Amino acid sequence: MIARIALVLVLLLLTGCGDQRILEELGFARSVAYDTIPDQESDGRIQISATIPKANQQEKIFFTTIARTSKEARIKFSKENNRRIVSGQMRSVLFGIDLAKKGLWDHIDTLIRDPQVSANVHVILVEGSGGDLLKKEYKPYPQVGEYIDELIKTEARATAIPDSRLYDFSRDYYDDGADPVAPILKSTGAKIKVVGIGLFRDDRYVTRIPTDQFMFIAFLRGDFRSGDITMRIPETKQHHENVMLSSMVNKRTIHVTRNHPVRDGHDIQVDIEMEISGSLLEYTGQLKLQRSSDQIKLETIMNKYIKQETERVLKSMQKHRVDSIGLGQYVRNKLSYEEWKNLDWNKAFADVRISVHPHIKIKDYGKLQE
Amino acid sequence: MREKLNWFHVAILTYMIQLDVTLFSLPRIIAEKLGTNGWIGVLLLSLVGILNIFLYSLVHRMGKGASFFDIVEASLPKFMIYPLYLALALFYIYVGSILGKSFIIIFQIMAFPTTNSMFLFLLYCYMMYCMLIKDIYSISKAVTVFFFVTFWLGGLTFYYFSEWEIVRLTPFLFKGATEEISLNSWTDIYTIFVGCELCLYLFPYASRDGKWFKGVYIGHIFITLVYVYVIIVSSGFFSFHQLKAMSYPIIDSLAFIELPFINRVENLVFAFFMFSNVTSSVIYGFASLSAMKRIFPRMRKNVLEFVIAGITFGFGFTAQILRETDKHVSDAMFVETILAFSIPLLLIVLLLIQRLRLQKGSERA
Amino acid sequence: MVKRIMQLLQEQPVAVAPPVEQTEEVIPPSLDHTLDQFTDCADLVHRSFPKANLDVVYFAFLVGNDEFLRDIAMPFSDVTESEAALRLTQSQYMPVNNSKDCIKGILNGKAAIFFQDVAFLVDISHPIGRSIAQSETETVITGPHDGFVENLVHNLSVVRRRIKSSHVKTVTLEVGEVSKTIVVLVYMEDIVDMSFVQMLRDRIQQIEVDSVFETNQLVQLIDDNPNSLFPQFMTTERPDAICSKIVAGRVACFVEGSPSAFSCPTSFFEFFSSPDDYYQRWQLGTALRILRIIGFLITMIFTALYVSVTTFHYEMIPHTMLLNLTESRSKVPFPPLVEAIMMETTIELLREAGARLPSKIGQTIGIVGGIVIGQAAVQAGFTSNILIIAVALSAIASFVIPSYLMSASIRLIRFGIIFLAGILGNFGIIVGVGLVVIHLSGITNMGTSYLTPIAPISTYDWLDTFARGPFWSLRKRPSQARTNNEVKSRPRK
Repeated sequence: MIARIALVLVLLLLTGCGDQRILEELGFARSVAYDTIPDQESDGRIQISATIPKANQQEKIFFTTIARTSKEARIKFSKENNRRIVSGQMRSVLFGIDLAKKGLWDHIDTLIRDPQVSANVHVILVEGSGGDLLKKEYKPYPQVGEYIDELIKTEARATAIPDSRLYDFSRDYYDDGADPVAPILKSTGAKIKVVGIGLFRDDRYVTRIPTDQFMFIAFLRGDFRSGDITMRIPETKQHHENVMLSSMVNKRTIHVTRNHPVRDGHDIQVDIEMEISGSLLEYTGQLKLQRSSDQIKLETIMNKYIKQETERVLKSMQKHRVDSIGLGQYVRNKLSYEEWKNLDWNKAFADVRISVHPHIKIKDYGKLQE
Repeated sequence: MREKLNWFHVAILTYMIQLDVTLFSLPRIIAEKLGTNGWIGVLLLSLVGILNIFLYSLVHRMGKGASFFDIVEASLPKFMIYPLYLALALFYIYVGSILGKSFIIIFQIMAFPTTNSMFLFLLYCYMMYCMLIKDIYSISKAVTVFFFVTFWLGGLTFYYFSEWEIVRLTPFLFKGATEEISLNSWTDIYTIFVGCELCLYLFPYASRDGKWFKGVYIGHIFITLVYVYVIIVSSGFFSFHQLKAMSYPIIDSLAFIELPFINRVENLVFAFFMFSNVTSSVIYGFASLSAMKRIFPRMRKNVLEFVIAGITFGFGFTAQILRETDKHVSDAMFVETILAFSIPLLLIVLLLIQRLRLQKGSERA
Repeated sequence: MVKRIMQLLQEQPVAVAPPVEQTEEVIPPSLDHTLDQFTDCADLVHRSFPKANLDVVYFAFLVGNDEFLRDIAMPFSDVTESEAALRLTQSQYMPVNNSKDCIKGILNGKAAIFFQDVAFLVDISHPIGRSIAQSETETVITGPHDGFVENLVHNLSVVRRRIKSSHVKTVTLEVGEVSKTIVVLVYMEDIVDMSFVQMLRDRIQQIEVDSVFETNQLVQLIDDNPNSLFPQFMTTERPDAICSKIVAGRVACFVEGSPSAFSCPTSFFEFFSSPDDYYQRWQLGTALRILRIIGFLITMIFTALYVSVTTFHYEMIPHTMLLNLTESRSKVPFPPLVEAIMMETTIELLREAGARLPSKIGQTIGIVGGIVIGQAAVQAGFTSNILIIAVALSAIASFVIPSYLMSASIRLIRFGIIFLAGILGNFGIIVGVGLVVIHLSGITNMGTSYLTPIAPISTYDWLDTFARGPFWSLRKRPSQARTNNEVKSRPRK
């Protein structure tokens, strides 16, 4: 028995070492950026940059190179570095918008294929160059990789931006009834800012939603359990009243009605019901909040406002033929398989009649009586 | 005083034999072969599996608990049987070996890509050998522990519920398969239920009254539920075409998990499934051991077991890359499916002949 | 050639020798013969009472003064032969008619009285040894603080005092060709499965060894799997533990000269329960049981996981922890496997040194170990501080297991798993755990499964294995005891 174990162990001693990845011998690429090269003769090559945190947690190492693929770049990086560059601890992957316009799937594909890369890597668009964003120093945040990661995570938790991990991105990419989205970052001065949500048709960046409309796309995309919104509701031509709803809970249901048969988008009608409840924390208008009749009045005003704004977001999505809220999934489930197969959803989506029915409930109005 | 296998352990054995590395690609296979909502197809195929088990319980009842070998030897001459036994034994070893090898090869995708797969497989065979040299009761005890060690991993699926959406299941039934759904696709999928036929070799170790067959049914139903659950969870978590694109959806979904103290549990969890995979290999090894013992009844202790583990290792050389193991697994499973149905039919025929002969004999007397 | 190999491979019939009947000739006891047996024994005393025509032989250091006065000196000094004959009819003077018994009696602290042609034995032995004191190895916070001692009589009296039932039966056996150690089996008639008593008696009687001095030594001579790393009999120094086992239908066994007793049949999970689980509220008892199982898991795999993750699976480290870990690892010149094995060995050295030294110096060792090894090793870049945490945690976790023997076994296995983890990462850990499980499943104790109640499954027993159910729920005795008398309590009305 003992001899047998010894035999096995001796055999094993001869192996395994080639695949060792001892922690301190590795360089962890935290963020990787892909950009187009301004040069016309790029010949299919792109600029790839990566940051690697140093063990002292205060500094980072920045690499950039021009290569055909990310794997080629990794090999190049490893040659420049005393450590082996690995991608298993990658947290975010940045794409320049110019590159995103040409389509991202080739790059995303290699990321998903690589068993080391986590499905939780955030897919992020960058206004300008992703490499430059990574290269810059941000004083209070020595690790740019961590900084981006934290930023995206906190924002996503507050439902301000949709999740756009590799998992979500590829799920929506493969789904014929949904299109992927990704947040857009921009480095301004010593800060990184979220400046919009990029909408994709398949893997190509098409358009964006500006910051002030984030919440509306969140309402449309699905249920959430926490979110804040400030509404600037026009009361008269000059005067606006500000309403701020906090700790919002949203429950969204989608109803699809259809004609028989479905030939194109005109035959489909979608109603989106949203049940929103939240605490009112700020209100600058004339209504007396302690009166329940006035609360209902305010709710009606807010409903109207949200309906108008969300429908505007939807209009712009329809104009660009991107179904970023996954309506297609619901439409698909109302159609027969053949009807759905014959429908070019991205085209049909533009013609679908969509109406939004928000139902806001003011849960409470804070600690003040008036 | 020798305890008999009770139904609970038989159920766990049946479950663990059927559960193997296929689970990790199962949602993809179902999506490819059956298209949307393939879990309904799995339920239907499970009924076929139940029919198969019923055939075995029929053999058990007709033969009054006599083992496979006793029934065959009562009818056929020895010179015919031994080559048959040997072929059967080798085939079972081959099935066990190829299952193990394919596990190792898939494990290498995640870790140890350059380590010689045969070294890992050697360890696998060593584990198998350690189990084989014990009697079936000890094997079933170990399998029971393995069951508890792996079963709680199902709790990880709760992690997916926040992303799980029923719309992704779609209302379409069996639409969007890669190829036209044919008999072939059904038989291909049925291979996930292969394994329950090994209850045939448990006959001598379980009670004669056949109550333990309850365990085989329960184990089979349980594995069906697990399969269905896994398929439903992953088809609500991934979109349909994504599912078809991924080779091992379950591994990918595990990679999604981030626990506060540990991330990327896929290679740990996958390694856990080695237990159920080893169980499958061991029980195939056990079946072949039963056959070998008939041919070499007076072998010294542990020699046959060692030979089986050695041959298992040897067969491992036949498949060195993923493409090969996939091919071998599907071929071996196909043959095993045929065997699973033809053996009980053959035995029933033999038993009927025996009964007829007995009647004639008594009439003559 | 082939034939020879086949022969070699095939089972050889083993010739079973018929048991040799030993016929002993009976030698009647006599003074001369007895003295002859004990020549050169300086501590043997031979006293004569000429008036009564009586000779007394005994070992000076085995008998007590008071007892000697009471049973020998007082009754027989200054009496006539006929009076002495009358006194010897009293029941404490046992006539013996076999020289062998007579010698054995003297060795056991009795005095042999040779009167006319007859020999008598009278027990005037005086027990020596410590009085009943708290067990050093198994302490509890609540619960009785007495422990078994080296004296068999004391131990049995402790048991008798606890279970006042005529159904408590004892069997006395003798082990050791030279040492003639007395072994006593204790069981409850009507509750115990007599086949266990029979099996245990047979096994103990079949032992052929010159001497046995300790219970933990005896159990290794009678277990089913002598090559296993795991202790297979539950040994304890706590009377309350042993009594509860006896009442549960297990057989207990005491060895003269050893402060620990064992009970059987034993299951693996018994080693994780402590008597004070029952003295606290059941929620606490349950929490403790779960804690111990967590402790078991930590001991087994925590350091191994560290090695595996830092050597092979860096992607498993949560990204928030990654840089801390890398920083502390970056100064260490050894690969994680070497680092871990080194630290684990150091901890084992500390533990062993602490166990060997008197408790006062033992504390010093703790301080030296804690500060020097812990603090300095990290500062010197010898190990990473996360490893120190891992190693210390698994060492602490191992001490949560109430049985010292079990925790020692697990600590040894841990080295194997760490080794496998260093070679093959998670795959190695899983293989290691798998091999341990396979090994455990092969172990039997007195023919019952070591893994009861997991396999064979008995979910009712789980309530008293992985949890400590409230007393109203614990109505049946454990299934492993195979008792016919299952019910142990009835619900409160």
